[in-house]
Amino acid sequence: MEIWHRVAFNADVKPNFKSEVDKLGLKYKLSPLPGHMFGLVSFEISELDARWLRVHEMIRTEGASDIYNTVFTKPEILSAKWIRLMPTFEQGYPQPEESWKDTAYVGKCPQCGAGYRQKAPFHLAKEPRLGRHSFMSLYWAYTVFTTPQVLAILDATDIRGYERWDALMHRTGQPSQVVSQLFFPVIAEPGLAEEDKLQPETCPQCGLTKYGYHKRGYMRLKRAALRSDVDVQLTHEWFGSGGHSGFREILISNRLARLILENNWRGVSLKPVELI
Amino acid sequence: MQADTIVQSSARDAKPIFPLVVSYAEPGLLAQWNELQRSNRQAVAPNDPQLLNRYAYARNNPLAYRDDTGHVLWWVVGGIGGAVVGFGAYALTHQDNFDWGQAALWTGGGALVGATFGAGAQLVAGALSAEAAVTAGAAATTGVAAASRGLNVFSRAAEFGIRSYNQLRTLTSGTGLKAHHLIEKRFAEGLGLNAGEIPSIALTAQEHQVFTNAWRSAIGYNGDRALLTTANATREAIWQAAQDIYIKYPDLLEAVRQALFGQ
Repeated sequence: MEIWHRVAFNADVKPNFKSEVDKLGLKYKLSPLPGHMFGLVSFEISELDARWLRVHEMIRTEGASDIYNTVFTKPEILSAKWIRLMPTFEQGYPQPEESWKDTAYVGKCPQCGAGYRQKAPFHLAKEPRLGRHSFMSLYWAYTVFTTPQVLAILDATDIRGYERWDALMHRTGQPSQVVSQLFFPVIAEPGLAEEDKLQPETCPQCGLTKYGYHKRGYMRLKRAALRSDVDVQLTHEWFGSGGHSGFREILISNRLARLILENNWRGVSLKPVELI
Repeated sequence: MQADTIVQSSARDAKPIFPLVVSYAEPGLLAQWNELQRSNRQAVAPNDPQLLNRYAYARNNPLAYRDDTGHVLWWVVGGIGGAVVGFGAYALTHQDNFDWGQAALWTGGGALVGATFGAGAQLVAGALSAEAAVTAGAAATTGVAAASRGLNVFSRAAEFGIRSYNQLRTLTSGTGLKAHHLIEKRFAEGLGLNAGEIPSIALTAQEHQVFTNAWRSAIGYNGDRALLTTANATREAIWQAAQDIYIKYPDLLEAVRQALFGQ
């Protein structure tokens, strides 16, 4: 596995940082901004890169946007029994934008965004354009949609633990011809280990504890908390950024992860779980 | 009347209606000045498109307005003055043997010398005006740098100010402008913001695209590595990105800060 960082900074305001990046020979993207000579410099770098320590030092002294996540290799993913599945191809917003939370969910805490259960299908503004992706999600809603082709294979291979829900076109109320939602009804028992490392916050309004998004290394879960008779289940615990977004992690079996990798289905990111 | 004013043809006694920065506006200089204005138009005249054209001195209506002082022919003035001086000098020095033919020659010579000096003076004045124009242009350029601190660096954002997205979308309807969320809409849910209430500015499609690209560069999404999605974007990550993107526009940054953290 590798921890990858996306670093971005304003080169006009931080010329020393830009000089250092130039000196290190890092390949970066320059995004122009009005009234700027240079604009925004952005690049990605792995912690395994010999230049990372210097970049890290510059981030610390100069300040910069630094977002990171763990990228696992295919063998690492396939050697795990359970794997976190994260939708990464987001397109469109749930409809109607002002009231979708009330029409699609029940029980969503207005303060922390957790604690909800989906009660009705999502509405889409228009048919999605997936390109080469096989999975997609909506902005604002942590959910997974997929194509009829993928559904056919899931069905043929007897993947368990999901329901196919229509995604409705908001204007007509008719089901999308491009995607359907994968609804996951099975929820695991409490099983998150090392909870204290994930900045737990208990919501004063609903009383639920929400954990920070897991970004570094393997997430650790208690083996006994997971169901073994399904290929997909949700964690008992809620996660989110600390703001109003709340979601349960989607866990998939090794069998399903293998299917995704072998078919090169795009639009999700896979991260193995360490069972204890 | 001052030398650097424009008057309406039909009302020459009326109050000056528009001050010019450059006097003695030769067409070349005026073109140069207008070019400077064009290149710095946001800083010079964010609210007055009339200032952006070659006939700005007449508010785009040279038939109705005149620049009385900008086109004075100094060689004529010099010529007349020279003629008077030439005639006077001859008359004073030839009181005893005054001859109209010789007086005419002296007057003509004076006129020629006066006209030459007048034209020279006009050139000098023109040069000075050019210098003034360059200086003013430099000042205007500095103005752009200063304006980049606010909204004037953008095409028409200053006309509409910073408003909620919903307000701005209504106001800019039919203008071809886009209401640009200062915090990207995709983060609204996670931040607990109403997308329609996010502070926004009116941008052209190109300007809007520039900022969209910058946000994507700062906190990319949909990439293979998917370092950030709407699900894992923290308030702090969004604030850091906003500082990198809007650091030269303090008004915008302050609006973002207030939206993220309150007053």
